[in-house]
Amino acid sequence: MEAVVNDAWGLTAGTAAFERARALEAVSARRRFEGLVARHSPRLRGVAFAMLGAADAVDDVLQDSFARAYPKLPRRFESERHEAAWLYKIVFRCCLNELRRRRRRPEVSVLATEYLSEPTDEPGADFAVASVLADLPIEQRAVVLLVDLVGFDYEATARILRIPRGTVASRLNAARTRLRVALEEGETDV
Amino acid sequence: MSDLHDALERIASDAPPAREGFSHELWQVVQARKCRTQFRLRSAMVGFIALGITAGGAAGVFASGDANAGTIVDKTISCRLSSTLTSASFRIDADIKEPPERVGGGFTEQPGDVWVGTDGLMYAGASKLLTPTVGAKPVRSGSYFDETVCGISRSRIALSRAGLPSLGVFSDAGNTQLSDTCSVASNTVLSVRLRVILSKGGTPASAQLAIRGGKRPHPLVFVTWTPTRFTAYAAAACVHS
Repeated sequence: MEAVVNDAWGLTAGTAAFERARALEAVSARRRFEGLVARHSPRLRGVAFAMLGAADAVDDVLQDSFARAYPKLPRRFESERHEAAWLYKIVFRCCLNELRRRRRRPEVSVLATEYLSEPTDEPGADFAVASVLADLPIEQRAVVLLVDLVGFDYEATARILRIPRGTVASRLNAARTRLRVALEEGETDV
Repeated sequence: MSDLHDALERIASDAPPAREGFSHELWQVVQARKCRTQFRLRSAMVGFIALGITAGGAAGVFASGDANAGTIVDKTISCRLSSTLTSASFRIDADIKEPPERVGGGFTEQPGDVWVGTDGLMYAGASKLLTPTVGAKPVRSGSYFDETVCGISRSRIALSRAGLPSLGVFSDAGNTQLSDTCSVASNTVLSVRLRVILSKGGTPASAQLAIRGGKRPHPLVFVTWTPTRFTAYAAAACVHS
Protein backbone atom coordinates (compact mmCIF):
# COMPACT_ATOMS: atom_id res chain seq x y z
CA MET A 1 0.00 0.00 0.00
CA GLU A 2 2.83 2.27 0.98
CA ALA A 3 4.50 1.59 -2.32
CA VAL A 4 1.39 2.78 -4.17
CA VAL A 5 1.13 5.94 -2.09
CA ASN A 6 4.79 6.76 -2.60
CA ASP A 7 4.56 6.09 -6.28
CA ALA A 8 3.54 9.49 -7.60
CA TRP A 9 3.29 8.25 -11.19
CA GLY A 10 1.22 5.18 -10.30
CA LEU A 11 3.87 2.96 -11.79
CA THR A 12 3.66 0.29 -9.11
CA ALA A 13 -0.04 -0.30 -9.67
CA GLY A 14 0.55 -0.06 -13.41
CA THR A 15 3.28 -2.67 -13.30
CA ALA A 16 1.10 -5.07 -11.34
CA ALA A 17 -1.74 -4.65 -13.82
CA PHE A 18 0.68 -5.10 -16.70
CA GLU A 19 2.04 -8.29 -15.13
CA ARG A 20 -1.51 -9.57 -14.62
CA ALA A 21 -2.36 -8.81 -18.23
CA ARG A 22 0.78 -10.58 -19.38
CA ALA A 23 -0.03 -13.62 -17.27
CA LEU A 24 -3.56 -13.74 -18.71
CA GLU A 25 -2.17 -13.33 -22.19
CA ALA A 26 0.24 -16.22 -21.63
CA VAL A 27 -2.59 -18.46 -20.40
CA SER A 28 -4.79 -17.57 -23.32
CA ALA A 29 -1.91 -18.06 -25.77
CA ARG A 30 -1.33 -21.48 -24.32
CA ARG A 31 -5.04 -22.33 -24.58
CA ARG A 32 -5.18 -21.10 -28.15
CA PHE A 33 -2.10 -23.12 -29.02
CA GLU A 34 -3.47 -26.24 -27.36
CA GLY A 35 -6.65 -25.85 -29.42
CA LEU A 36 -4.62 -25.37 -32.57
CA VAL A 37 -2.55 -28.48 -31.88
CA ALA A 38 -5.65 -30.51 -31.02
CA ARG A 39 -7.29 -29.47 -34.31
CA HIS A 40 -4.34 -30.19 -36.56
CA SER A 41 -2.35 -32.82 -34.72
CA PRO A 42 -4.00 -36.00 -36.07
CA ARG A 43 -3.62 -34.82 -39.67
CA LEU A 44 -0.10 -33.50 -39.12
CA ARG A 45 0.89 -36.80 -37.55
CA GLY A 46 -0.14 -38.69 -40.68
CA VAL A 47 1.55 -36.24 -43.02
CA ALA A 48 4.76 -36.23 -40.97
CA PHE A 49 4.73 -40.02 -40.98
CA ALA A 50 4.34 -40.13 -44.75
CA MET A 51 7.06 -37.51 -45.12
CA LEU A 52 9.55 -39.14 -42.75
CA GLY A 53 8.76 -42.76 -43.56
CA ALA A 54 9.50 -43.69 -39.96
CA ALA A 55 7.09 -44.08 -37.08
CA ASP A 56 9.78 -43.57 -34.45
CA ALA A 57 10.73 -40.09 -35.57
CA VAL A 58 7.21 -38.64 -35.78
CA ASP A 59 6.85 -37.70 -32.10
CA ASP A 60 10.27 -36.05 -31.92
CA VAL A 61 9.70 -34.01 -35.07
CA LEU A 62 6.19 -32.92 -34.08
CA GLN A 63 7.36 -31.95 -30.61
CA ASP A 64 10.20 -29.93 -32.08
CA SER A 65 7.81 -28.27 -34.53
CA PHE A 66 5.25 -27.34 -31.88
CA ALA A 67 7.96 -26.05 -29.54
CA ARG A 68 9.23 -23.82 -32.35
CA ALA A 69 5.75 -22.72 -33.31
CA TYR A 70 4.46 -21.73 -29.87
CA PRO A 71 6.62 -18.63 -29.27
CA LYS A 72 5.77 -17.39 -32.77
CA LEU A 73 2.01 -17.90 -32.49
CA PRO A 74 0.36 -14.91 -34.21
CA ARG A 75 -2.35 -13.02 -32.32
CA ARG A 76 -4.88 -14.06 -34.93
CA PHE A 77 -5.13 -15.81 -38.25
CA GLU A 78 -6.94 -14.49 -41.29
CA SER A 79 -8.61 -17.83 -41.94
CA GLU A 80 -8.44 -21.47 -41.07
CA ARG A 81 -6.42 -22.04 -44.22
CA HIS A 82 -3.91 -19.41 -43.11
CA GLU A 83 -3.66 -21.11 -39.73
CA ALA A 84 -3.07 -24.52 -41.33
CA ALA A 85 -0.49 -23.13 -43.76
CA TRP A 86 1.41 -21.50 -40.90
CA LEU A 87 1.57 -24.74 -38.91
CA TYR A 88 2.34 -26.98 -41.91
CA LYS A 89 5.15 -24.65 -42.88
CA ILE A 90 6.87 -25.20 -39.53
CA VAL A 91 6.24 -28.94 -39.47
CA PHE A 92 7.53 -29.39 -43.02
CA ARG A 93 10.67 -27.35 -42.27
CA CYS A 94 11.32 -29.62 -39.29
CA CYS A 95 10.67 -32.76 -41.38
CA LEU A 96 13.07 -31.55 -44.06
CA ASN A 97 15.69 -30.71 -41.43
CA GLU A 98 15.32 -34.17 -39.90
CA LEU A 99 15.57 -35.90 -43.29
CA ARG A 100 18.62 -33.86 -44.25
CA ARG A 101 20.22 -34.57 -40.88
CA ARG A 102 19.56 -38.26 -41.39
CA ARG A 103 21.04 -38.13 -44.87
CA ARG A 104 24.24 -36.65 -43.42
CA ARG A 105 24.30 -39.02 -40.48
CA PRO A 106 22.38 -42.23 -41.22
CA GLU A 107 20.29 -43.58 -38.35
CA VAL A 108 21.47 -46.51 -36.32
CA SER A 109 17.97 -47.81 -35.87
CA VAL A 110 15.77 -49.49 -38.41
CA LEU A 111 13.85 -46.35 -39.17
CA ALA A 112 13.97 -46.26 -42.92
CA THR A 113 10.70 -46.66 -44.74
CA GLU A 114 8.82 -48.32 -41.93
CA TYR A 115 5.55 -48.10 -43.76
CA LEU A 116 6.85 -50.59 -46.25
CA SER A 117 6.92 -53.38 -43.71
CA GLU A 118 3.19 -53.61 -43.11
CA PRO A 119 1.10 -53.69 -46.26
CA THR A 120 -2.52 -52.64 -45.83
CA ASP A 121 -5.77 -53.90 -47.41
CA GLU A 122 -4.50 -53.30 -50.92
CA PRO A 123 -0.98 -54.55 -50.57
CA GLY A 124 -0.03 -54.31 -54.23
CA ALA A 125 -0.89 -50.70 -54.98
CA ASP A 126 -0.14 -49.25 -51.55
CA PHE A 127 3.13 -51.07 -51.23
CA ALA A 128 4.22 -49.84 -54.64
CA VAL A 129 3.19 -46.25 -53.87
CA ALA A 130 4.87 -46.37 -50.47
CA SER A 131 8.12 -47.67 -51.89
CA VAL A 132 8.17 -45.04 -54.64
CA LEU A 133 7.27 -42.34 -52.11
CA ALA A 134 10.20 -43.41 -49.94
CA ASP A 135 12.49 -43.31 -52.97
CA LEU A 136 11.42 -39.83 -54.08
CA PRO A 137 13.81 -36.96 -53.40
CA ILE A 138 12.65 -35.29 -50.20
CA GLU A 139 11.79 -32.04 -51.99
CA GLN A 140 9.46 -33.87 -54.41
CA ARG A 141 7.96 -35.87 -51.57
CA ALA A 142 7.15 -32.67 -49.70
CA VAL A 143 5.43 -31.16 -52.72
CA VAL A 144 3.32 -34.21 -53.56
CA LEU A 145 2.20 -34.62 -49.95
CA LEU A 146 1.24 -30.98 -49.57
CA VAL A 147 -0.71 -30.88 -52.82
CA ASP A 148 -2.11 -34.38 -53.26
CA LEU A 149 -2.55 -35.42 -49.63
CA VAL A 150 -3.20 -32.22 -47.68
CA GLY A 151 -4.84 -30.37 -50.57
CA PHE A 152 -2.91 -27.07 -50.65
CA ASP A 153 -2.82 -25.24 -53.97
CA TYR A 154 0.40 -24.40 -55.81
CA GLU A 155 0.65 -20.91 -54.34
CA ALA A 156 0.27 -22.06 -50.76
CA THR A 157 2.71 -24.93 -51.31
CA ALA A 158 5.23 -22.54 -52.81
CA ARG A 159 4.91 -20.26 -49.77
CA ILE A 160 5.19 -23.16 -47.31
CA LEU A 161 8.31 -24.57 -48.94
CA ARG A 162 9.72 -21.16 -49.90
CA ILE A 163 10.21 -22.12 -53.52
CA PRO A 164 8.88 -20.57 -56.77
CA ARG A 165 5.49 -21.69 -58.06
CA GLY A 166 7.10 -23.12 -61.21
CA THR A 167 9.36 -25.32 -59.11
CA VAL A 168 6.30 -26.67 -57.29
CA ALA A 169 4.73 -27.56 -60.63
CA SER A 170 7.80 -29.29 -61.99
CA ARG A 171 8.50 -31.24 -58.81
CA LEU A 172 4.87 -32.26 -58.56
CA ASN A 173 4.83 -33.43 -62.15
CA ALA A 174 7.95 -35.53 -61.65
CA ALA A 175 6.62 -37.05 -58.43
CA ARG A 176 3.14 -37.75 -59.81
CA THR A 177 4.54 -39.44 -62.89
CA ARG A 178 6.52 -41.90 -60.81
CA LEU A 179 3.71 -42.47 -58.31
CA ARG A 180 1.09 -43.00 -61.04
CA VAL A 181 3.25 -45.63 -62.72
CA ALA A 182 3.70 -47.37 -59.37
CA LEU A 183 -0.03 -47.21 -58.69
CA GLU A 184 -0.94 -48.67 -62.08
CA GLU A 185 1.67 -51.38 -61.83
CA GLY A 186 0.53 -52.23 -58.32
CA GLU A 187 -3.09 -52.48 -59.41
CA THR A 188 -2.30 -54.75 -62.34
CA ASP A 189 -0.24 -57.01 -60.02
CA VAL A 190 -3.27 -57.38 -57.74
CA MET B 1 -5.72 -38.32 -59.14
CA SER B 2 -8.12 -39.41 -56.42
CA ASP B 3 -6.59 -42.92 -56.51
CA LEU B 4 -3.25 -41.39 -55.66
CA HIS B 5 -4.87 -39.28 -52.94
CA ASP B 6 -6.51 -42.39 -51.48
CA ALA B 7 -3.26 -44.34 -51.52
CA LEU B 8 -1.47 -41.47 -49.76
CA GLU B 9 -4.31 -41.24 -47.24
CA ARG B 10 -3.95 -44.92 -46.43
CA ILE B 11 -0.20 -44.51 -45.91
CA ALA B 12 -0.77 -41.50 -43.65
CA SER B 13 -3.44 -43.33 -41.65
CA ASP B 14 -0.80 -45.84 -40.51
CA ALA B 15 0.86 -43.11 -38.44
CA PRO B 16 1.52 -44.19 -34.86
CA PRO B 17 -0.43 -42.66 -31.97
CA ALA B 18 1.30 -40.06 -29.80
CA ARG B 19 3.60 -41.52 -27.20
CA GLU B 20 2.58 -41.42 -23.55
CA GLY B 21 3.10 -38.02 -21.95
CA PHE B 22 3.59 -36.29 -25.30
CA SER B 23 1.70 -33.11 -24.33
CA HIS B 24 3.29 -32.82 -20.90
CA GLU B 25 6.71 -33.27 -22.44
CA LEU B 26 5.91 -30.68 -25.10
CA TRP B 27 5.29 -27.97 -22.49
CA GLN B 28 8.52 -28.87 -20.75
CA VAL B 29 10.38 -28.47 -24.03
CA VAL B 30 8.62 -25.15 -24.65
CA GLN B 31 9.59 -23.95 -21.17
CA ALA B 32 13.17 -25.14 -21.63
CA ARG B 33 13.45 -23.29 -24.95
CA LYS B 34 12.01 -20.14 -23.39
CA CYS B 35 14.53 -20.25 -20.54
CA ARG B 36 17.38 -20.81 -22.97
CA THR B 37 16.31 -17.91 -25.17
CA GLN B 38 15.96 -15.61 -22.17
CA PHE B 39 19.35 -16.67 -20.87
CA ARG B 40 20.98 -16.00 -24.24
CA LEU B 41 19.28 -12.63 -24.57
CA ARG B 42 20.25 -11.65 -21.05
CA SER B 43 23.82 -12.80 -21.58
CA ALA B 44 24.06 -10.93 -24.85
CA MET B 45 22.63 -7.73 -23.35
CA VAL B 46 24.80 -7.83 -20.28
CA GLY B 47 27.76 -8.75 -22.44
CA PHE B 48 27.24 -5.79 -24.73
CA ILE B 49 26.91 -3.42 -21.79
CA ALA B 50 29.96 -4.85 -20.13
CA LEU B 51 31.87 -4.70 -23.38
CA GLY B 52 31.04 -1.03 -23.59
CA ILE B 53 32.47 -0.40 -20.15
CA THR B 54 35.50 -2.59 -20.29
CA ALA B 55 36.53 -5.49 -22.44
CA GLY B 56 38.05 -7.27 -19.49
CA GLY B 57 34.89 -7.13 -17.39
CA ALA B 58 32.76 -8.83 -20.00
CA ALA B 59 34.17 -12.29 -19.42
CA GLY B 60 33.32 -12.16 -15.75
CA VAL B 61 29.72 -11.15 -16.47
CA PHE B 62 29.23 -14.03 -18.93
CA ALA B 63 30.62 -16.47 -16.41
CA SER B 64 28.16 -15.38 -13.74
CA GLY B 65 25.04 -16.73 -15.56
CA ASP B 66 23.57 -20.19 -15.22
CA ALA B 67 24.72 -21.91 -18.37
CA ASN B 68 22.49 -24.94 -17.75
CA ALA B 69 19.21 -23.05 -17.47
CA GLY B 70 16.61 -24.53 -19.79
CA THR B 71 19.02 -26.75 -21.63
CA ILE B 72 18.08 -29.99 -23.31
CA VAL B 73 20.89 -32.53 -23.11
CA ASP B 74 20.50 -35.14 -25.79
CA LYS B 75 23.28 -37.62 -26.39
CA THR B 76 23.68 -41.11 -27.72
CA ILE B 77 26.58 -43.29 -26.68
CA SER B 78 27.52 -46.70 -27.93
CA CYS B 79 29.58 -49.43 -26.32
CA ARG B 80 30.56 -52.93 -27.29
CA LEU B 81 29.65 -55.28 -24.45
CA SER B 82 32.62 -57.59 -24.33
CA SER B 83 32.65 -60.75 -22.32
CA THR B 84 34.56 -64.00 -22.41
CA LEU B 85 31.25 -65.76 -21.83
CA THR B 86 28.66 -66.24 -24.54
CA SER B 87 26.47 -63.52 -23.09
CA ALA B 88 27.04 -60.08 -21.63
CA SER B 89 24.72 -57.97 -19.55
CA PHE B 90 23.87 -54.45 -18.57
CA ARG B 91 21.81 -52.99 -15.78
CA ILE B 92 19.05 -50.48 -15.86
CA ASP B 93 18.18 -48.76 -12.61
CA ALA B 94 15.62 -46.08 -11.87
CA ASP B 95 14.25 -44.56 -8.68
CA ILE B 96 11.85 -41.82 -7.84
CA LYS B 97 12.56 -39.08 -5.35
CA GLU B 98 11.75 -40.13 -1.82
CA PRO B 99 11.33 -38.06 1.34
CA PRO B 100 14.50 -37.55 3.41
CA GLU B 101 15.14 -40.25 6.02
CA ARG B 102 16.71 -39.66 9.38
CA VAL B 103 19.96 -41.60 9.56
CA GLY B 104 22.02 -41.14 12.73
CA GLY B 105 22.18 -37.44 13.45
CA GLY B 106 21.26 -36.20 9.97
CA PHE B 107 19.03 -36.76 7.02
CA THR B 108 19.82 -38.64 3.85
CA GLU B 109 17.93 -37.84 0.72
CA GLN B 110 17.10 -40.15 -2.14
CA PRO B 111 16.86 -37.70 -5.05
CA GLY B 112 15.78 -40.32 -7.58
CA ASP B 113 17.71 -41.18 -10.68
CA VAL B 114 17.81 -43.24 -13.82
CA TRP B 115 20.95 -44.84 -15.10
CA VAL B 116 22.26 -47.69 -17.17
CA GLY B 117 25.54 -49.43 -16.70
CA THR B 118 27.29 -52.72 -17.09
CA ASP B 119 28.53 -54.42 -14.01
CA GLY B 120 31.65 -56.36 -14.87
CA LEU B 121 31.66 -58.02 -11.48
CA MET B 122 28.44 -59.82 -12.18
CA TYR B 123 30.04 -62.10 -14.72
CA ALA B 124 33.45 -63.60 -14.17
CA GLY B 125 35.79 -62.74 -16.98
CA ALA B 126 33.95 -59.71 -18.27
CA SER B 127 36.59 -57.47 -19.70
CA LYS B 128 35.03 -54.11 -19.08
CA LEU B 129 33.63 -52.37 -16.08
CA LEU B 130 31.40 -49.48 -16.97
CA THR B 131 29.34 -48.47 -13.97
CA PRO B 132 27.49 -46.28 -14.54
CA THR B 133 27.73 -45.25 -18.14
CA VAL B 134 24.88 -42.89 -18.56
CA GLY B 135 22.26 -41.43 -16.29
CA ALA B 136 20.30 -38.53 -14.90
CA LYS B 137 19.83 -37.38 -11.32
CA PRO B 138 17.71 -34.48 -10.10
CA VAL B 139 20.67 -32.57 -8.79
CA ARG B 140 22.40 -29.61 -10.36
CA SER B 141 24.04 -30.65 -13.64
CA GLY B 142 22.80 -34.13 -12.81
CA SER B 143 23.19 -35.76 -16.19
CA TYR B 144 26.36 -37.64 -16.83
CA PHE B 145 27.86 -39.62 -19.65
CA ASP B 146 30.93 -41.71 -19.16
CA GLU B 147 32.80 -41.09 -22.35
CA THR B 148 35.97 -42.85 -21.28
CA VAL B 149 34.77 -46.30 -22.29
CA CYS B 150 31.69 -45.68 -24.39
CA GLY B 151 31.98 -43.41 -27.37
CA ILE B 152 29.59 -40.58 -28.11
CA SER B 153 27.73 -41.65 -31.21
CA ARG B 154 26.80 -39.16 -33.88
CA SER B 155 23.89 -41.33 -34.93
CA ARG B 156 20.78 -41.26 -32.85
CA ILE B 157 18.38 -43.98 -31.86
CA ALA B 158 14.69 -43.27 -31.57
CA LEU B 159 13.19 -42.35 -28.23
CA SER B 160 10.22 -44.63 -28.40
CA ARG B 161 8.77 -47.69 -26.81
CA ALA B 162 8.84 -49.47 -30.17
CA GLY B 163 6.54 -52.31 -29.12
CA LEU B 164 8.34 -53.20 -25.86
CA PRO B 165 6.10 -54.61 -23.12
CA SER B 166 5.42 -52.29 -20.20
CA LEU B 167 6.94 -52.94 -16.79
CA GLY B 168 4.47 -50.52 -15.26
CA VAL B 169 4.30 -47.05 -13.84
CA PHE B 170 6.57 -46.35 -10.90
CA SER B 171 5.34 -43.63 -8.58
CA ASP B 172 4.95 -43.08 -4.87
CA ALA B 173 2.23 -45.71 -4.64
CA GLY B 174 4.56 -48.40 -3.35
CA ASN B 175 6.27 -49.15 -6.63
CA THR B 176 9.26 -46.82 -6.58
CA GLN B 177 12.28 -48.66 -7.89
CA LEU B 178 13.32 -50.47 -11.04
CA SER B 179 16.41 -52.63 -11.07
CA ASP B 180 16.70 -55.00 -14.01
CA THR B 181 19.53 -56.90 -15.61
CA CYS B 182 19.33 -57.46 -19.33
CA SER B 183 21.28 -60.20 -21.05
CA VAL B 184 22.50 -59.83 -24.60
CA ALA B 185 24.91 -61.78 -26.78
CA SER B 186 28.56 -61.09 -26.14
CA ASN B 187 30.10 -58.38 -28.31
CA THR B 188 26.72 -56.76 -28.83
CA VAL B 189 27.00 -53.09 -29.66
CA LEU B 190 24.73 -51.24 -27.28
CA SER B 191 23.37 -47.81 -28.19
CA VAL B 192 22.06 -45.71 -25.33
CA ARG B 193 20.31 -42.39 -25.88
CA LEU B 194 19.53 -40.11 -22.96
CA ARG B 195 17.54 -36.93 -23.40
CA VAL B 196 17.32 -34.77 -20.31
CA ILE B 197 15.33 -31.57 -19.98
CA LEU B 198 16.96 -29.39 -17.36
CA SER B 199 14.81 -27.07 -15.32
CA LYS B 200 15.55 -23.41 -14.69
CA GLY B 201 17.91 -24.29 -11.84
CA GLY B 202 19.82 -26.70 -14.04
CA THR B 203 18.42 -29.86 -12.45
CA PRO B 204 16.85 -32.56 -14.62
CA ALA B 205 13.08 -32.10 -14.76
CA SER B 206 12.52 -35.14 -16.94
CA ALA B 207 14.50 -37.66 -18.92
CA GLN B 208 13.94 -40.28 -21.55
CA LEU B 209 16.29 -43.16 -21.96
CA ALA B 210 16.29 -45.66 -24.82
CA ILE B 211 18.57 -48.62 -25.30
CA ARG B 212 18.95 -50.63 -28.45
CA GLY B 213 21.35 -53.42 -29.21
CA GLY B 214 22.60 -55.56 -32.05
CA LYS B 215 23.78 -55.07 -35.59
CA ARG B 216 20.32 -54.09 -36.72
CA PRO B 217 19.53 -52.44 -33.41
CA HIS B 218 16.41 -53.79 -31.79
CA PRO B 219 14.77 -52.08 -28.84
CA LEU B 220 15.71 -53.36 -25.37
CA VAL B 221 14.66 -50.73 -22.87
CA PHE B 222 12.75 -47.46 -22.84
CA VAL B 223 12.17 -45.31 -19.76
CA THR B 224 10.37 -42.00 -19.43
CA TRP B 225 11.41 -40.53 -16.11
CA THR B 226 10.62 -37.60 -13.84
CA PRO B 227 11.80 -37.28 -10.22
CA THR B 228 8.36 -38.30 -8.98
CA ARG B 229 7.14 -40.78 -11.57
CA PHE B 230 8.52 -42.95 -14.33
CA THR B 231 7.32 -45.56 -16.80
CA ALA B 232 9.52 -48.38 -18.00
CA TYR B 233 9.34 -50.75 -20.93
CA ALA B 234 11.77 -53.61 -21.41
CA ALA B 235 12.36 -56.62 -23.61
CA ALA B 236 11.99 -60.18 -22.32
CA ALA B 237 15.79 -60.34 -22.00
CA CYS B 238 15.54 -58.09 -18.95
CA VAL B 239 14.80 -59.65 -15.57
CA HIS B 240 14.47 -58.17 -12.12
CA SER B 241 17.77 -58.25 -10.25
